Formats: sequence, C-alpha cells, structure tokens
Amino acid sequence: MLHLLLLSVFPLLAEAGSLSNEFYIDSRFTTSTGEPGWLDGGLGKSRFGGDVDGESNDHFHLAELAILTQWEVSWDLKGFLHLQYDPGQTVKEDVIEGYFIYQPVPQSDFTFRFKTGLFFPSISRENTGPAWSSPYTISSSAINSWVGEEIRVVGFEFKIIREGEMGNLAISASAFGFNDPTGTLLAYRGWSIGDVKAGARSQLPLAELPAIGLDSSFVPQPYWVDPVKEVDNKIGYYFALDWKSHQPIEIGFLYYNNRGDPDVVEDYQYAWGTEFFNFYIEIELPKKVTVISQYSLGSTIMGGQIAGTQTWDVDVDYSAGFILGSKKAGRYRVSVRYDWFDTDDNSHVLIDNNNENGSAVTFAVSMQLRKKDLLIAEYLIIDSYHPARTTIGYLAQQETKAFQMSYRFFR
Amino acid sequence: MSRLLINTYFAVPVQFFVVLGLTISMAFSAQASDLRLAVNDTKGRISQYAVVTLKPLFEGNWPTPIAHSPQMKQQGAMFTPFVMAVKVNTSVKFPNLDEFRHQVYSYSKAKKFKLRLYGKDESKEVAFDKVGIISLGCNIHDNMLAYISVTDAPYFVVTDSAGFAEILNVRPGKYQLSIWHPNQKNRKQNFTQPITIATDDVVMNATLELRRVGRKQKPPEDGNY
Ligand SMILES: [Cu+2]
Repeated sequence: MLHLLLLSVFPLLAEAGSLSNEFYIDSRFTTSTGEPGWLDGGLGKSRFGGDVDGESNDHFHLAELAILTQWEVSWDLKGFLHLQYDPGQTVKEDVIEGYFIYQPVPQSDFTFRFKTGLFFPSISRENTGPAWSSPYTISSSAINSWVGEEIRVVGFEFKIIREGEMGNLAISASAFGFNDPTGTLLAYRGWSIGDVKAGARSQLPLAELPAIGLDSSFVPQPYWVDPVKEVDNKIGYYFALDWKSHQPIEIGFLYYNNRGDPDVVEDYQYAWGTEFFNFYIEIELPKKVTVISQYSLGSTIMGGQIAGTQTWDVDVDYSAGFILGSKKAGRYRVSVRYDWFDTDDNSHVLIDNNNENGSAVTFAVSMQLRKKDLLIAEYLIIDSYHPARTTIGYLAQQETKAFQMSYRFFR
Repeated sequence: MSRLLINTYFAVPVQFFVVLGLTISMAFSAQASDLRLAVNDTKGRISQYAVVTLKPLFEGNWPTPIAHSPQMKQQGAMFTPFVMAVKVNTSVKFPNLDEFRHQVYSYSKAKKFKLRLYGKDESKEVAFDKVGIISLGCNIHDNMLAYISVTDAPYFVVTDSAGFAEILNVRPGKYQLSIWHPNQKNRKQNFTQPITIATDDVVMNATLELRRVGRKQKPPEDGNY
C-alpha cells in the first residue's frame, strides 16, 4: 500500500523540473559452493548459495533493479524515494526508502536536519553508493548485511551538526516504529554476508527448523519474517554521536532499541525486543587508501520470560565486526575485508540452539566504466559453525566460497 | 605576537623572477619595487591559499584597483578557487557551471547571504561591503567549502600552488605585511610584520604556524553529486 501511495503522490505534487529519476540495475554472475543459501530455504550465509548436495551453483541473473527519485520540493525540503525490484524475494517490488529531509540554510555554526519517512538509521559506513550499494564490495559486511535485511525504521530523525575548528560534531536522535520483528533473522538464521535489501513489504524466509513453524510445540514462529512491521504499538528510538575530524578520521556510535514487547504477536509476527550498539572508525590514509571498521553488539528477546530467570524463550546475544581496507587508483578500486560474527543463545539450547560463530574474508576489484557504471568482481569465503544446521540435515561447520561479478548500470 | 619568521634576502630563487624582475624594475625604477614572497609552514611545507596583504603605514592617495569581476565558480560540486581575496566593495560573481543546483551560503559576520543557483549558466552576484573573512558552504553539497578574504589594503594576493606570491609596483614606504591562511593555528591572529619597500625589489620568506591537517574541500565521491 505504502509504495502505491508514494508512487502516486510523488509525481502529482511535483512541479516539472524538480523531480529527477535515476535507474540502477545490478546484473550478476554468481558461482558458489557450499550449502544452499538462506533465501533458498537453507542456513547458508550468502545471498546465492550452493546446491543441496554442496555442488557449485552458477547463476547469471538480474540481482536487482532500482528507481531512485529525488524530489526538490523547495530549497529546504527534499524528498527521496527508492523503489526496488528483486526477483529473488517473495515480495519482488518494494519501497526500500522513502523520506523527506528538511534542512534550512545554516545561520550559525549549527546545521539542523530533520528527516521523516522510511529510512535506514545511519549505521553502515559501507553502503554509500547508489541504491544503498557499497562502492567497495558486492556483499556487505555481516553487520551491514543485517542492516539491509532487518533494520529499517518509519519515524523521525533529528540531527544537529556543529561545525568547529577541529571538525564536525553531530548528534542525532530518532523515534520510530515499524521495526518490531527485527532480530528474527539473527536468532534463527544467524549472520549473513550479502546484499539483500528488505523493504516496507518484504517477507524474508526462515529455514524450516524443527524448533519453529506455526505448529511447533515451542513458539509459533512461521517460516518467515516481515522486518518492517509494527506489532506492539510501542515507540522505539535510537541516538547517535558522530565526530568528523578535519584530520581524515571519523568516529561515532549509535544505540538502537526498538523497545519491542516480546510477548505481543500480530499476524504471526512477534515483537522482538532488540537493542544494539554500533561503533565505527573510518580513516583516510594517503594515496587514496581508506580503512573502515565497525563493531556491533546487542541482544534480542522473544516469547515469554522463563519463570525465575532473566531469560526469555528466545534470548540471543550477538556481536559482529569487520575491518575493511580499500585503495583507489584512477578508475580502479581494490578492497579486502575481514568479518567476524557470533551469536550466543541464552535459553533452551537443547531444543532450539541458536548459537553461531564464524568469519569471512572478501576480496573485491572494481572498475569505473563510462558515466557512472561500475564493474565489480568479488571472491568471498565464509566459515561458520551453526549447530542448528544439524536439525535440517547439514553439518554444523560449513564453508561457502563464492565468486561474483556484477555490472552496475546507473543513469 | 606570532612566532613567524621572516628572512629578507636578495637572492632570487627562480629564474622566472629574474626576467620578470628586470623588466619591471627597468620600467618603474626609482618609483616602485616588487615584493616576492614564499610562504611555508613550520614543517617547511609549501603553503598555498595564504592571503598576503600590504597596508601602508603612511598617508597617501590610493586609487581603486582596476575593476575586474572576480568569479567564485561552482563546478563538479566544488568551489573554485578555494581561497579568493577581494577589495572591499567588490562584487563577486557566482556562476554555476554544473547541471544541478547549489545553495551557497555564508553566516560569517562580514557578510551573511544565501544564493540559490538553479542550474547551468545561472550566475548571481554578491557585493562584499565589509572587511573580513567569509567562509562559504553549500546546503546541498556538504563537501563544498571556500573562503573569500575581503580587505581594504591596496595590495593583496593569494599564494599559488608553489606557495609563491608577488605584488608588483609597490610604492616605496613603510607597510604592514599581513598573512592569513584558512588553516592557521590561531584563527584570530594573522601573521604580521612591518616591512619597508625602498627602491630595490624585496624577496622574502614567511613561515606560518598551521594546523597539521586543516579544513579542505574534498571532491565528491564518484557519481554521488
Ligand atoms: Cu552545491
């Protein structure tokens, strides 16, 4: 509904010339080995996994198509709409972002920015390209893959930026809703390394684990999650502090809490009580070398509180981090990233084991082509230990190797 | 008092200067001399974008300089030049060479304004009627940054990429030399030094105390205008 509304309202209200459209098309060749991917019913960690028998699986396909619309309502007010077609998702056409930014011209060292709509909290330091793509790699880090899959808010964000002698300091605060089922994927699937972007209507699959399912004796969680959904009618919040030095270094953190009430269920979707911290540092070194690191840790709970304990039916702590180094040379860019990730299950491990740990190494090379097009190739190795795999017939320890090549058309 | 160091010497470091210096000293000998200045920081690094001004410490009639219309361009989501010096009451043109919009603003005391530049070939003018430093930003492109130094000095110049500045045909007399740089450590305290211009050309060196890494105008990321 939301997308139809936005689609029809945007052009109607816009004057000629104040609307601009850009198109982003990601054509992809993928070959990967290892278990089937999580979008194909498995517990695999990449967007496109291997065959059921572990053989390599080659795909040549459209990864996504996006339309990015900018609407300059006035000098201080701008709208942005990001629509996606992803043939690999259950809901193929979706609104990924749709928001307005009001930013009056500064009258002092302070800049005020007000944002409202459906948007990503600014967590990712990687996804700075068009249509939330990363200029460094095809697959985002574990942290930012999760942000793409499950972290989207509908609400307000207020940001104050102070320009100072030494750099810019920014404080942001947000009140939001429609992000209650967040945490489901981390608990039942674990982390992933990919580039799936959920939208307002997305329904993402879960593997058919014996511990879940609508007729499960444990908790009636269906084999899917609707990440952008309001369940408990409680307002969540996040706040962030960002420091951007004139020295080429940026640091910051964000605290997110959806204040989900873990007992409330609507349309088979629980409100998961999910909170986390995200920290980052980004350094520009000489010779166009960039180093980015992020670290996140948090927890999620769902279901009832277990009598006499401080744990819930599903109660998982999680953490992940990465360090990425990238060098640009003319039209070329070379990037290397190391990811590590972990989930720690605090309850009912015997019947519903949501533990996991793993790491990944990603190498990528990209070449800027005419105009804004980008050709990018990536080699990805993910190692992970996830005991719940044994309940659907796979070994707990899995290695996935994937080679991907992507042509990103952007006009 | 800033710890700036001035070495006055008469050696000419670049051949180009010899030729130019000779030409000019032949034409204006006995009436005017040239000042040539090399500016660097305390680590010996060349200082581009230093605004050098010469203010007379004596009475005299100073003709308004020949009218030129300086331009602060917007091109590729960047301002060009990064630092500009103009005489007070000069109108500066802000031409937009980009296909897209800019919203140029200043909240500096010497001139507060905002300019809306719709698209290619749109150009607007701002008259700077107060002495001071104006820092420019764009409300659409966070990376955009530039400075305009508005001065009432009869002689002024911005150092080039080699850290050099030259002021030709300076009337003999006593002057206050002043240098401002966007990244000077003490924002309030410019480098100053009284100098005397006699009949010979003056070649000198000035060392500024600058921040190790200062504010820069970064080019926008590819395709991210
Ligand atoms: Cu601009």
